[in-house]
Formats: sequence, C-alpha cells, structure tokens
Amino acid sequence: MIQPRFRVFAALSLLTPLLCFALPRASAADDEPERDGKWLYQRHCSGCHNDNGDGKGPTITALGQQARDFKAGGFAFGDSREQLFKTLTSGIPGRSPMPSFAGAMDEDERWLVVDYVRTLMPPRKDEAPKQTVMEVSKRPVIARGKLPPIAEGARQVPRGLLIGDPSGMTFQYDLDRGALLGVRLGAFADREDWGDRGGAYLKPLGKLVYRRVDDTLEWPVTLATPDPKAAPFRRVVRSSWTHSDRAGLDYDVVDARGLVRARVRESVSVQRLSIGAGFTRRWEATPAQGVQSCSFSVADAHGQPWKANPRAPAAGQPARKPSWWTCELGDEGVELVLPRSSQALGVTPSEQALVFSVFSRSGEALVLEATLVRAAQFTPELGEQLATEIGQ
Amino acid sequence: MSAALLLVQAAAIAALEADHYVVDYLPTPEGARIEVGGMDFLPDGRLVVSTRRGQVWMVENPLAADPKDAKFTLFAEGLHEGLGLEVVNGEIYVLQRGELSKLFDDDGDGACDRIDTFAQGWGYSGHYHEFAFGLPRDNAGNFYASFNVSFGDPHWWHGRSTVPDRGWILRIKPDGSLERVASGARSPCGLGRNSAGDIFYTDNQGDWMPACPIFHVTDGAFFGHPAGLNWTKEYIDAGRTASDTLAPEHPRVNAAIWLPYDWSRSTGNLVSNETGGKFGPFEGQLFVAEMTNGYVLRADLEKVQGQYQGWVVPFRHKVGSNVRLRFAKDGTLFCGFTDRGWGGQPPGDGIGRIRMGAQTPFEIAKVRLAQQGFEVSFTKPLASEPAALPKARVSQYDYNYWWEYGSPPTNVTERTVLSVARNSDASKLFVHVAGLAPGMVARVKFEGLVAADGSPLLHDEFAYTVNQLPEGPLSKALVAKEVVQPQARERSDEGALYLMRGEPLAAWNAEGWSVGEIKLDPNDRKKLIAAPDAKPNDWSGPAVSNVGAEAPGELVSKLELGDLDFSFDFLLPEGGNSGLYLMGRYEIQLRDSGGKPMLEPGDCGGIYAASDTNVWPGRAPTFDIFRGPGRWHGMSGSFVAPRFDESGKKISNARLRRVMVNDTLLHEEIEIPAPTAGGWEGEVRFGPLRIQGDHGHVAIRGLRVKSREVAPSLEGWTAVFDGTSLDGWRMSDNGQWKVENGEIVGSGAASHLFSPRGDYTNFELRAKVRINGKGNSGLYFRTAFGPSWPAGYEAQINTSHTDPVKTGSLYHLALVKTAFVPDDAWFDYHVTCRDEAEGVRIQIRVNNVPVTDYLDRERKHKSGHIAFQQHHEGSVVRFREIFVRELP
Repeated sequence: MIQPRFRVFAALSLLTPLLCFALPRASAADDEPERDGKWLYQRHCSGCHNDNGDGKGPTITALGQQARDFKAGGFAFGDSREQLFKTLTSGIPGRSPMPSFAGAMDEDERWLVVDYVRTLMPPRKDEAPKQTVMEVSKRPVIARGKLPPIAEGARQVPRGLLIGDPSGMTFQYDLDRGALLGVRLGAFADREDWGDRGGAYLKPLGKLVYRRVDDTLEWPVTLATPDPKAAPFRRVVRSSWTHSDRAGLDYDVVDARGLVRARVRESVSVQRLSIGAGFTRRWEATPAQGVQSCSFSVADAHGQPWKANPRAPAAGQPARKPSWWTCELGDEGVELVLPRSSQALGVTPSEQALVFSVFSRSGEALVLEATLVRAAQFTPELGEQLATEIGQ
Repeated sequence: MSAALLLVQAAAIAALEADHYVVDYLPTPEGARIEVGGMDFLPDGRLVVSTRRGQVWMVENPLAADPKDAKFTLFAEGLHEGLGLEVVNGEIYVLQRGELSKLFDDDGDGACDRIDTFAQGWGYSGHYHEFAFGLPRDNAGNFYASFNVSFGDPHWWHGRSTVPDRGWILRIKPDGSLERVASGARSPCGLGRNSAGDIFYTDNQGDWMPACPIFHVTDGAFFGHPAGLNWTKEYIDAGRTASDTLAPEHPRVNAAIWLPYDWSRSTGNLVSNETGGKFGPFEGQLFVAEMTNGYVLRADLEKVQGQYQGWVVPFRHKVGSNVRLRFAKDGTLFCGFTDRGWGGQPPGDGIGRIRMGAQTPFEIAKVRLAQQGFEVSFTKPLASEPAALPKARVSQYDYNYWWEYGSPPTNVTERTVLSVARNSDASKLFVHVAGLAPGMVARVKFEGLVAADGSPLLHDEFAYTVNQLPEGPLSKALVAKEVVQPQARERSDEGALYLMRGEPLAAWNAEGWSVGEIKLDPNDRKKLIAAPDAKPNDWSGPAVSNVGAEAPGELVSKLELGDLDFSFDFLLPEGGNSGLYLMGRYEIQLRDSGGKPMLEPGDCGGIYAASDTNVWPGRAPTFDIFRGPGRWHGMSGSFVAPRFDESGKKISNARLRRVMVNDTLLHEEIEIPAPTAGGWEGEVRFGPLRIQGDHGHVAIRGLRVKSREVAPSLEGWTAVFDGTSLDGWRMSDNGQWKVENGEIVGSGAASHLFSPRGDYTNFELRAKVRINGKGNSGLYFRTAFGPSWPAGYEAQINTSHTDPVKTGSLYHLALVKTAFVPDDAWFDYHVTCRDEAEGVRIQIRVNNVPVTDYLDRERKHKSGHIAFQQHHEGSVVRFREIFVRELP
C-alpha cells in the first residue's frame, strides 16, 4: 500500500523488471494424465525408496541396504526443489547406489517426481512469507546481504546493504564500493536467503524510483591540492549505523596508493515537501591527517561543471541559502551528479528533477546536503518555494 | 546388524551417557529460529549468539539451573550471516560473509546501532556455499577465519575457487589486515585452538576430502582440496587453474585426526576444555561438534616426531545439530544447533547445554601411541582380577584421495593384538599390536573391560590417526592416498569431438596461429607471450594462440556444424578482445571487461549486437564474469542452428540455449534473428566455428563440440552382428576375438575379423566403437579375406597411438590428424560407400559429424567383407551395434 504523500513517486516511477532466469518447471503432462509424479515415482523410485517413501523398497532391501527415508526428512544434498532436481538428475556420486535419472526421465518428468517426493516429506519448517519479510517501523533498519541485479544488464551485488526508512523509502547500496545504486518505495525487503542453505538474495520489495545511471565516478569530495598520481580514489566502507531517525554509512576515501585522504559520513533521509517527497543525501567530510582541506564540486553527467559552481562558506559562517538547479532529463536520466559522474540516480525520461544543495561546516567537517525531488511541472517560483522549504 | 537395532543401541548409550553428562535446552523466544553460527560470553556473563540468519541474540542467565530462567533478547539483525563470534575485551566481533565486524550499542538501549568493519577484502562471488567461518584467536591476538569453496554448475559435486581466498584459512591481524595462511580447505566449518594456542580446523567430507578431518593450521600448509591452489603464486604465474578431476602435485599435509565417518558426517567447530576440572576428567582435551548424528566427540592430540596427531572417541550422542560448541567458565559446554538445508539431528536450531552429572563416567582418559601399540589410561581404576583382563581388536585403514564424494575406508587390515597388559596400579592398559603401520588410522575396540567398581566402559572404541610412529625414520605416507582417479561419473565427453587434440591445428584454417603454452607478458600486460617451460594441461591438451604472428587471421574450423554443445577455455591479455562466432556468424564476446557496474553486449560473455541494432540489440551477460587478464576462463554452451524450408526461407532463428562462463549461467534460450556485427552474411543450416584473432592476442585450449543433430534412424537397417555369437565370422592370423556383453572385443596379436558376407558393395555402415589409449584399429570395408593387412578400404580407429593418422581417416587416402575422440570413449562411426559416376564416394562421420568425404577415382576396391582390425598386442578395440543398410 503506497501512502498518498508518495503519489508523485508512484505515478512516475520507472519500473525496471528484475532479471530472472527461466527455470524449468513441471509441465501439466496433459496428454498422458496417468504419467504423473506418482506414476513416475512408482516406476523409477519405489524399488529403493518404497511406495511410502520410507527407503525400504524391495530392490534396496535385497541389496542389504536402505535408501533415503523421505518420511524422516533430512537430505544429504538438500531438500529444496532445485536440490532434489539436481540429485535426481546427477545421482549421488561416491558410495551411494543412487543413480542419475537424466536418461530415464526428461526434465519435466523429473520435476514431477521432485514435487511428488516433496509430498512424502514431513511438513517443512519453511517460513511463511511473512516471517522472512523484514519491516521497518519507527526507526530506520539496515539489512545486509546479496542483492539481485537492480536492472537487466546490471550485476548482482554480493555485498549489498539496504537502509529502510520508516516512510517506506529504501536506499540500496553496494558495500564493496560504498555506492548508492538506487532508491525504492514500498515494502522493505524479503530475506529469501533464510531459506534453503543460504546464498539466495536479500530481495528489496519496493519499486525502483531512482536509479543511478552513470557509475564511472562516485566521489563528491575533491581535495584542495590533489596529487594527480593519487587518483583514482575509491571508497572503503568502515561502518553502518542507525542513530535515532537517521541511518548511513561511514567510509574512507582512499587514494591509489592506499592512503586515507578523508573520512566521510553519508546519511540518507526522506525530505517531505509541499509537492511530495524527495530524499536528501548528506555528506560530512573530514580531511585525513596531512590533507589540507576537502571541497565538494558539482558537475553534470558528462563531467562538465555546473554554471554556478557552489562554494562552501568559510568556517564560522552560516550555511548558505539552498540553491537549486533543474536538470533536463535525457533518455538515460540525469540528476544530482557530483563531480564528474557520481550520484547519477536515474529519473524517468522526460521529467524534470530539482536538485537543492546546502553547504555548511561542522567543526573540521565540510557538509553538503543535496535533495532530489521530482516535479512534472517546474517553474522558477516553485523552485524558490521549495528552496525555502528545504532551508527551513 | 539391522538399522533398527543400531538405533536401539544408540538410544541405550545416550541413556547411559546421561548418567554422567546431562543435556538440557534453553527455550528460545516464540517464532525465533536461532540457527547458531557463533557463541561467546560477555564479561558480565551474558551469552552472545550470532546466527545464520544474521541476527545476534543476548542471553541473560545462560547458566541458570532452570533453563527457563535464561532470557533471550534480540541485539542485532540484518547482518549478512554470522558464522563466527568472539568477544574480545568486552567487544563483540561477528564474522559476516564479506567482513569481520564489531558491533556497538552507542545509545545504550540494548540494541546494536553501529556495525564497524574490522576486516574485509576476501573474495565472495555470491555463491551460496561461500560461507565464512570463524573465529578463534591465537596467542598473538590474530583471528582466524576459513572460506568455503563454491560448487560448479551443473557439476555441483566439484568444489571450485572462482574468487580469491576460497578454500583458504586467513589470519586477520589486530590491525585488520589479512594474511593467507594455508589452502586446500573444502568446507571448513569449524576452527578452534588447543590449550597450547595452536589453531586447528575441521573439514567436511566431499571431493578430495575422503572423510571429516581435523587439520593443524600452519603457514603454507596444503590440506588437499585443489581449488584453493588457484590463488597460489605458482598457479597465478602459470595462469593455471586447479583440475576438477586430477590430483594436484602440490605436497599435502596429514590430518592430525581423521574422524570415522560413522561418528562424524558433518563436522562443526572444536573447543579445548580449559575449565580446570569443572567438566570432569578431560582437561585439555578437544570437544568436536557434529551435526548429522548430533554427536559431541572427544579428541586429544599429542606431538609425535614433531607433528600433531591424535585420537577421537564419541562423547555424547543425539544432542542436536551441533555446529558450534563453547565452554562457559563454570564448566558447562554450550552447544549451538543449525541444520538448515542439510538435515541434522533434531533439534535443528537453538542452544543446548551439557553439564557434568553426579557420577564420573568410566571412560578412556588418554591414549598414547607407542612403537608397538597403545598405552591407554582410564578415568577409574580397572578391575584387577586376572579373569577380567579385557580383549582388544585393532584394525587399520586409510582412504582414497580422489575427486569422488568421500571415500570408504580402504586397505582395511586387522592387526594382531599380541597382548593386553595392565600396569601395576591398574590405571592403564598397554595394547601390544603387531605391524602397526604409519599413514593409516587405527581403530581399537575393547571387549569386556570393566572398572574396579564394576562399571562397563561407556565408550569402548577409539580411532587413532597414526601419521607417524614414535621412532624410526619419518613416514611420508598420507592417510588419504592418491589413487587412480575414477572416471567422470557422467561421461560428458562421450559423443564429443575434440577439435584441438592430436595435431591441435589440423582441424582448423589457422593462419598466424600456433601451438604452445601461453602466459601474460610480464613486461606488457596488454600482450601474451609463449611460456615454453609450461606443461600443457592433461585434461585440455595444448593451447593454441595468435601470439606468434604480426597480423594473425581467424581460426576457422574445417568441420561444418549445426546444432551443438561447445566448450573451451580462453585466456586474454589486459584489454583483450576476441569472440567465438558460431557458424561463423553469431558472436559471443571474449573480452577483458571485468569490474564494470553495468554490463553491455560487448562485455565478456555477451552476445554481440547485429550491425543494425534495431534488428538485434545484442544481449549483455547476466554476470560480470571476467576474472582477470592472464587467467584461463572456461566457456560452454548449447546452440541451435536456424532452420529453412525447402525454398530456403528461414523458418526459425538461430538460438543459444545456454551460455556459461566459469560455470556461471549467463544466458538461456536467446533467439538471435540475424548474424551479429562482424559475422558472415547469409544464414545457413551448417557452418564452421570461427574465433576472432585480429583484435589482439588470445589463447584457446580444449575446444570440444558435441553434435545435437538428430542421428539418422536405424529403421530398415540390418544387424551385421547379433550381439551374442561370432558364428560365420572368420579370423585371420592368430588373433583373439571374443564376444563380451554384446560387444565384439579384439585384443592380442595382430589379426582381422571378417564378416560372414563378403559381397557388400554400396552401403551405409554404422557401429559404436571404443578403443583404449595407445590402441590402434580399423573398420575395413570392400575388403578381401586374407592374412596380414588385408586389401580394402580402412576407416581408421586411433585415439592416441603414435600413428598420427587418427579416427575419421580413410587410411592412405584422406588423413585426419586431429584426435577427435578421447581414449576409452564410445563413439559412433558411420561410413557411406557407393559407386558414383566419377569414382567411389566414401564419407565418414564421427559422432554424427561428417569429417571425411573422399572420391576414389581409381575405384581401388569393388566389393567385399566388412572387417575389424586388431593392430598390435596391448591394443583393445570394441565394436557393438553394427548395422548396415545396402544402397542401390
């Protein structure tokens, strides 16, 4: 259920289907109704596993052995459909008399047998879906796990992290690179990896509303006297946290030589505005020892600096009033792009997005807050109004 | 003994055990499944438990007399598993799949709100089996963690190491940096330390692990599973990856203890009893978690000739799916259960406790190996009447070191027990054994052993892993002995054609290509160079590459193929770019494209776009699969050629049923409507394979295809051989021909076997044929009976004999120098022979692929027998399903 205040997102969201494999599945076997799983089981399996699945069939008993007792549960090679199918297809190598049935039955037939064998097993302690679904209530929740590809052609993310905000927004990160990959709206996540032996996905459930499209550079912080030989910089995540109503990541900016140049605290939060909701990313950058200062620079997706290159206030000065830009969105989508590439979060083509940024200082740290919100109809007046709202 | 009786016995033993060691279970919160991955105690006495589900629970009052008084609260959730946990200076360290983390509760509300990364950087591809286990510390404060191999697909019984550190034990230093310690682990679920602070790990039976062992972890050790060797300098420099089915030559270390499989089928961690006697008489001994049977085992080590080895005995049956054990300060042994997906002894989750009961058990206290037997001490004085002198049975066995899943005990040998003697104070026995051999496990069972107080021995059998005897020269024998590797379970090369064996480029138009091993140029990573010292892999044959020529061309097969399965290995330099064109037309990219976040059709494993992307936009690979320049990658797939109606109009598109790289599925059922850019124009029903060679260096090896074309039906064909007798067949010379299981088998001295009929003229002939390595034979037709080499046409049968003329050749007339067929594999031989206007047309197909088409204008042979050749002593040839169809 999508709450009314997110109507804008829901209406405009770009639904990118997740990649999925075409798994073989059981066919109905219409033309020969008697060749069902039970029939096939009795023909191929019951000699050893017995009609009732207790593993005491006549063939195996004659050999002085006992086959796997399906009624007792517990399968050496796993009891999921896929694992059973593999066992049935390949047999069990080694000492077991369990042969391969790949020659004796075609794929569809093997799936039928798999499904029939599962009816002989004791009821599985499989979690009802609601027990693997993680929810977010009053405070943000962080979940780590392997994330599915965010879109067709993208890769899976073995070390992923989701930040779920109580408002229903989910921020999806790649932990290995400290990169925000996308933002979703809706339910939080399903821990599919709780089933079977693990290794399945931590599946985000919300619909994708923003997705980064340009990923070649990530880093919004540049250094005052950069040493060109030290580039490129990479991010090494050091911490994830949820403190009261905010959640985020800490990471080091590490140069090509492996030296830490800055420590950044990045957090995300939902920004409610009169035209709907956007989200705000906040970066708090502290130069590492030996680095004179950090600065932020802003450029478009193609690496060209913005017309109004923002500068941070001097130490002790108040934050500047929010400034804003509009982005014309191309086919790929554009948006907040911090220096030469970074936070490209895709927005539906032919929309306009507004980017607001606020610079300030917090002790040694330089702070940038950037808010992205979408508006179908943009006017300068609306920009001024939202800038004021954000500034409050 | 029946299974039922065994169960009854096990239950009886469990009941006896309960007299001495009592098990109870902590009730867990409603709805929670606490699948334990790690346990430790906070300084305030609370137990901290991490789980497979990425939760961390706090247990207050874990030592409460009534288990109901132990209270669970959820401390953290959302971790990416937690299969190791250690409390250091009050701080909680949890091992997640991808990092070692420290957990904090900054606001003090009892829930974790910050997770700091303490160490990271080991390889994790996302495969389900890539668990990270831990987490003991040595005396210097280093952590140890172990990293499972993943499994192949579809060859899921072969462990693989596709990303760094899989199959390794790593040391995590106090500054968080990683150091590789030892490799060769398979599924190293449990780590632990002994009382001396040395680190040990347990592995689980499977490929290259004949049973479940306990290994001493030392720097540079190799435990036996080959996959992890991929990350040794030796393998990386050679661009080599471990074989699934061949034993590595890398020297292995012995396991300190091999756990008998009937006691441990799935092993968890081990803990050292350092409770100062609070857990009874077994101070300093190791307790080992076991999941399937629910055992806790007791083990003890001694140093013999400088190396750890030792013995094991069951301690407690049917406790639960033990995966993690931990001693509390008061001497309670906590047992953490997990059975997820594997099937273990119930309960399959939660926490049990084992505590000393009222009575000291009568048990084996200690075993020491002597040169000629075992000195065994006990927890109670022995009965001293002479009549009660017990008996002992001793047998020894070892295991096969092979790729199969586990090994039965092999070379099982009963040892003669010369005597069983008591010492003077009746506290020890000496079991005097004749012929105790190093490099074998000894299993010793007592009978009739009774304590002075009348109690029978609770566990009367121990297993001692005798790597070394105390005296004499060091034995080099390993318990897991290298043996002849079994044949692949699924003979996947049956029906296949190897296109790069024998003379590797003979089946190719290969301008600018040469044969020889290849590596990355150390001076220019954008190039490959010859590696003249490298040995070709046995399983793939030699590599071929385009590194020798200024402007190399493409590699184009001489065979024309339709529907097929294919597989080969490729290696690229940095920035390398090549491709496989199926039928010369449809390209799968071979490319250095690792590390890209968004994959495109031009990336490694992608299906290239057509020149008009509106017709076919191409298809990006599903996964980022490129492992790095200078490393071999395996590609395999299945392809369906387009179909045309009689007028030549295309009625179905070319289709890639499946493409895999490094066992990872990249595409399934992809229809390709037109040749991809750079492919030859005009689609056809049969075409060659083509490998791009003009975009920079590339090396290929082990290319193999299997035709998926439907073989012609045998309807209307006549059997030449009835499957049972050689009645009417005639043998020349003094050969040995016999019938065995429906096969005609030729062996012994040179001779020929001739068919009853001798008037075959125009016909098709099919047979299934198999020949051994170094064997040589031939299928003769239009041949005349006679001694020595008969007159007639001969379709050669030779896989690896020194004769360069291989299977598929028409001897003397059309030579095939590619060894298409492997040794000892059945293949389909199909010969067509007919008179045509210009001469005698002879066509030979191997495994349903035409390899030879020859027109004999001289019409050398008119008609005759069908005959089989036996070429020389040592050659063994087999024929079956021999059919002929006469042609007009």
